[in-house]
Amino acid sequence: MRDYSIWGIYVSNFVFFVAISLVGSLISAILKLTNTDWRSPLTRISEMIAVASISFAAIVIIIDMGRPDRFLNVILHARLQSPITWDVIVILTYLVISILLLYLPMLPDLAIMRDSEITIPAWQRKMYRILAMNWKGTERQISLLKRSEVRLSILIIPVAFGIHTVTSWLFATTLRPGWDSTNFGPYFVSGAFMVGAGAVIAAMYIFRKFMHLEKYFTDRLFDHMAKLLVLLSLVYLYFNVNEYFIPAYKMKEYEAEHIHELFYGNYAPLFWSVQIGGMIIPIIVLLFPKGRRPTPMFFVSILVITGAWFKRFLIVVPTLSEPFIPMDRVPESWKHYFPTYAEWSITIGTLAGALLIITFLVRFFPIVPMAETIEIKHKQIKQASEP
Amino acid sequence: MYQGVWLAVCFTVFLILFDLTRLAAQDPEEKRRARLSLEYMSSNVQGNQLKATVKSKLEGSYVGIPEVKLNFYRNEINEDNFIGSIATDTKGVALLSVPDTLDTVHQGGVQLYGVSLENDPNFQDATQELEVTPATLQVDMLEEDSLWVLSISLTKADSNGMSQPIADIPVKIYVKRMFGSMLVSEGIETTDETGLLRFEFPQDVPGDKDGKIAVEVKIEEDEVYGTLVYELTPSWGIPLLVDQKSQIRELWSSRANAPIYLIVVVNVLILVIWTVIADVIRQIFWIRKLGREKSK
Repeated sequence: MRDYSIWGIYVSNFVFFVAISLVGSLISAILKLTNTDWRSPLTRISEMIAVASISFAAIVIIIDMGRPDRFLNVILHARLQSPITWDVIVILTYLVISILLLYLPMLPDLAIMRDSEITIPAWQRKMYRILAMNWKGTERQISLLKRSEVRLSILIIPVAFGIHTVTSWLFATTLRPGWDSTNFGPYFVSGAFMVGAGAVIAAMYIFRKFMHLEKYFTDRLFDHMAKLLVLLSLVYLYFNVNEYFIPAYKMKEYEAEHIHELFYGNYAPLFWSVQIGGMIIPIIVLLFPKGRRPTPMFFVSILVITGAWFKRFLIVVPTLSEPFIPMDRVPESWKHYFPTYAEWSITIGTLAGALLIITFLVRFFPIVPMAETIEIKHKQIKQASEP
Repeated sequence: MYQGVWLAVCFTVFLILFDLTRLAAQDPEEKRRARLSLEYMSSNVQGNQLKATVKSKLEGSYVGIPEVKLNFYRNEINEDNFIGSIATDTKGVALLSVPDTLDTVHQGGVQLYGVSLENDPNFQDATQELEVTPATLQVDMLEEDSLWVLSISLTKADSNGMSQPIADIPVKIYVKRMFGSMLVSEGIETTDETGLLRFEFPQDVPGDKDGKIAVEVKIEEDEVYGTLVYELTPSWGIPLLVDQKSQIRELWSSRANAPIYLIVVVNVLILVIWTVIADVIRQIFWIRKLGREKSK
């Protein structure tokens, strides 16, 4: 990174990870509390993505500090007035709630794994036994579990909004062009839900294809997720219009330079690719039934995720490249920011790390909630048999 | 068929997304000419130093070049006279402390120093030499009646090692402030024929809470004697009264003075949320307990 672009690719990556982690609250909380039955097979994936992402968001921000050994100073000398302190608090809280939301609904499944007759290593069975917490499926246990799940589902919604709103405030509480916006909180949150939905769709497709889960990740489920993604994309589009159209209409001095740089300047190819490729094209494609089939949806979701990553780059870097004090008498290379080889490597490493966590979780834990699926099936059979 | 079209569309969009090459637009590498300058600085705090600056022309103006390795020499530039090497900082400046032993050997005479830029991958080789006559700047603080006086003397050693006054050398007096130094000597003050200068220090300079100020007496870039600095910290300033407003609880105050409403709101939120989390964790252990009872 450079003196001017002190927040470069690492902070872009951090915002991306925080954004993608919001999928947990979308699927496990919002859809659960609205009694949306079709979301059931997705809860586990979404929570796994959320846990992996928020863990790496925390790691990335420590990398960005440049001196990880000083991380404790952020806590020991925390200044309550600083949004950075709020962010540390809310990330930690969200991480704990996400882990609980992944773990709690999994208790009955862990008991099934513990009691199953499948041949598995002794240590793995022991792990299931410990994690299953003596789950016997008694009425009292079920009641406690359901109550805890509901409480966590309610709790995670404000925390999820909080985590990304506070992340947006890291930028919006400054007076810099491109960041000085009252729109930033909802703009970030809506973008986060959109990329989170995209991530779940990509994961659904991969697990369906390679783990042969067509029975659970059905075409109908893809169709539901596609419609949800369109809705979220339209909301995000609305906030984008607000975020860029109003400053472009007013063209205040410094905002104008920023807008010009994005619309026609050095960042224009990336900006328009992200806006069109990562938002407009997905909306158009998913409006058509053929676009809502698994394969096209997978490619659309990859577009959404890639676009979302570069969108964070466009939020962070161009503003830093246009400081209020002119860049005089500095080497030419200081006036531009492009991530170095080391920055790219570390960033790709963190993305791979998040995928590795998901891989480990998928390797040892059921990806489709078994007990919940059985319960829903029973309910459907019961409903069908009733006159 | 449709999948093929889809792949083509997505691939094209990807190509555009990854077209970041314009962001990395930089000048092609070529060996440029560097401008090298060398100064000699003597300070009662920092000791004797050689200050070399590397600049190069960029977009019509000269800018300091960082991370360039410079070699320093005493007498002519050759391997036998090498005294050290150091890389330039972000402003293109390299400072090398000259060991006292080297200076004392040459007291009373003219000393030659050199600096060279050699075998740099980006810049052409360059050298610069400097002749300097070591001199001594001494400053005493005097309080005469109600006046504060700086008694400044400038001398050099002759060939016998005897102290000789240096006359007609301009001297400037500064007080260090937060973002630079404030000149307090008005007009041009020079040493007299006895090498002395008497300066009445102003009495209206703000100091720290004890009235201390950091004074710098300077002979700047003299072509014979180089730069000489004498630093001292008399309690001649007006004591600073701590502004009570800075103790007010505001968003911009120190961490110890965070607004009460903020402390309350944040702590209540943390307490409420973490109480629920703690209760859920407690319920997990309750579930375990219920399971154990059922087994029995």
